[in-house]
Amino acid sequence: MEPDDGLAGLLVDFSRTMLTEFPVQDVLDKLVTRVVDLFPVTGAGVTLLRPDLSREYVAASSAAAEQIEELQIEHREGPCRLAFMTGDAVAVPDLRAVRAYPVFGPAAMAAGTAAIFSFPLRHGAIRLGALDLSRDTPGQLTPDQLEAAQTLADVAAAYLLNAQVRSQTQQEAEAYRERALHDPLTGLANRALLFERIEHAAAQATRTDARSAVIFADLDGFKAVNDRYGHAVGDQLLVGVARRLSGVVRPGDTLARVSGDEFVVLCEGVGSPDEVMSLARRIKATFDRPFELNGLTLHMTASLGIAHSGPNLPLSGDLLREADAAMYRAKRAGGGVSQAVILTDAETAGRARFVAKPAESYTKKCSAPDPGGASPAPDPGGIHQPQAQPFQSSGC
Amino acid sequence: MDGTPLVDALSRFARNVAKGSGSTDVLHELMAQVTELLVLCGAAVCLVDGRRLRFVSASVAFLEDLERLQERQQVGPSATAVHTRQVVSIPDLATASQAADWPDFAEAAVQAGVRAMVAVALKAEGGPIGALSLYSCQPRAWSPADLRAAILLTEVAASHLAFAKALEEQRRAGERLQEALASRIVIEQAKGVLATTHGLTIDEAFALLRKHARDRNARLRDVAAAVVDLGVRLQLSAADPAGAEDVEGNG
Repeated sequence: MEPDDGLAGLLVDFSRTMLTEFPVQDVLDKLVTRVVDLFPVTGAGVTLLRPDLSREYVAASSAAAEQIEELQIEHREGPCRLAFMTGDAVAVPDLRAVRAYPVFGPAAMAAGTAAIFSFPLRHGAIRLGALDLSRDTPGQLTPDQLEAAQTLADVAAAYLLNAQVRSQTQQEAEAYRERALHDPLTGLANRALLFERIEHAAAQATRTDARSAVIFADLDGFKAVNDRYGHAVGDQLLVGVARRLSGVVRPGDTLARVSGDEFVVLCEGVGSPDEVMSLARRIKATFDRPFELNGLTLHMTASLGIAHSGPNLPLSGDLLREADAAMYRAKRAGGGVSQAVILTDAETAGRARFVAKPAESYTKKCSAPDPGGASPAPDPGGIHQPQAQPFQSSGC
Repeated sequence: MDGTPLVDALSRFARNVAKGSGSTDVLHELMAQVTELLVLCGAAVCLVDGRRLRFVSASVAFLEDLERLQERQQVGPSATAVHTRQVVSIPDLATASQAADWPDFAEAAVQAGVRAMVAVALKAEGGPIGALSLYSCQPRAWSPADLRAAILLTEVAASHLAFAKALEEQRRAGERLQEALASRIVIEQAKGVLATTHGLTIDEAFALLRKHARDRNARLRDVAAAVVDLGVRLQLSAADPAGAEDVEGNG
């Protein structure tokens, strides 16, 4: 085998790790597994160290090689540490002859290592860790081999730095994304994230027939709280409501604050309308207890609008609009009530029908294609139902 | 060719494009390393842009006219390498049979003092994204080792290019999000300012801000910035109740 051939091949392989999901692990795994075939050594290990010499990552070609790394970390001495600190390669062709490592030396020999060569992973003034090549018999590496191993360590370091830049860029973008998609007051999803999730749910629904539901919850009398006690109290109330709602939604549901006192729950992968109504009842129940804020006791209620998609109905912003409209009907019914709409499959329904019932039962709406593009007019009979108080409201 | 100079070239290349270099740096480094390793009179890179091959960069100025001729005609060694996905190796441009496919390019090349060429496609997952051309000013029987070196360097560079592109996209996405965030913050601030100065609720303030922007075909963010930074006051129009529908009427 021509050694340089293998080296060149390994250098090319390093570059292939650049777009993998875990480039750091991939580069180091390639390095330690391939380097043992390129040099007359029995084991290879890499330890990435932080500036305070604590361990960041360890890769090794075998359990024995890993032990060599662990021993150096444990005993805080060894050629790996020295190479990292000095930035120069360290060669220990015979561990028996070296007294610099009084603890690590005997431990390494007891573990079957007779010689060890360490090469710093460096780039300019930056040092990331070191590559250790070990042998089970004493013996020197040739100057060419030492140079080639250092080259590999330096190239690996270059790829690690690229990976570092990538993960930093990812983290920055993610941090901006987090901030751009969340409400700073309550930490809930904001309108932008809600719409993103709705789009995502829509794409899923067309693939899997999953059903979705949207619950719109609007506090009753929030404006009065703000006017009477000030915005600071209003804000605290919103935070309190957000906290309570977070406690009742299902795992995976998106809970968003979309404007002032409007909260929206997007439920994906819903089994039946009952599941949604049960969630709506839990939401209602969070208002059973008053909110205690700065010595104030506030009895609050919320108006809920619920829209549930039937199977095979592509989810869109329609569901949100229907839930919003249902919430307004609940509002007009005096607050503290719920209104529900089910959008069912267009295939089984002929022409648009709309049967509205008071909340707790559902307003059934078969969304046949509407030539005008406008929402079918709801049956007024079932809409304005001020007597509909399916969820006990404590009043305000 | 001995393997060690290739290893040196590959490792120099990798070390010089560490820390997330952009695609321009990657291409320059590729041309520099291949020119030094294979002792060329120059190298050039063109990239696929839509359905056309676009000249991007040459290591020496005298190759630019030649590369632009190939770009205009869309035929030449690089175009062939991209289309066939094969390495194009021409020992002597004055006599090579391949040159018959692009006589203008061959003639211009010889006139410019170029005698031998190699073109290697830069490959990405979805297919070729461009090509590297190597220029020799003497006729040259390219050895398998020469071609292998060019192929390996090109392959490494292609990975770096894809990485640079992904990184640039990620940076742009971050910038867009940062911009969106800054917009939202200034809009929130403007809502607060308007609510105080105009005696409005936050929702009314937002409606006023939006109406003002819409009426003047301005960006909401710019109107908000004017309100916050310059203290611009907005005209309240009585005919147009800003608060829309009062949804908290029962409070």
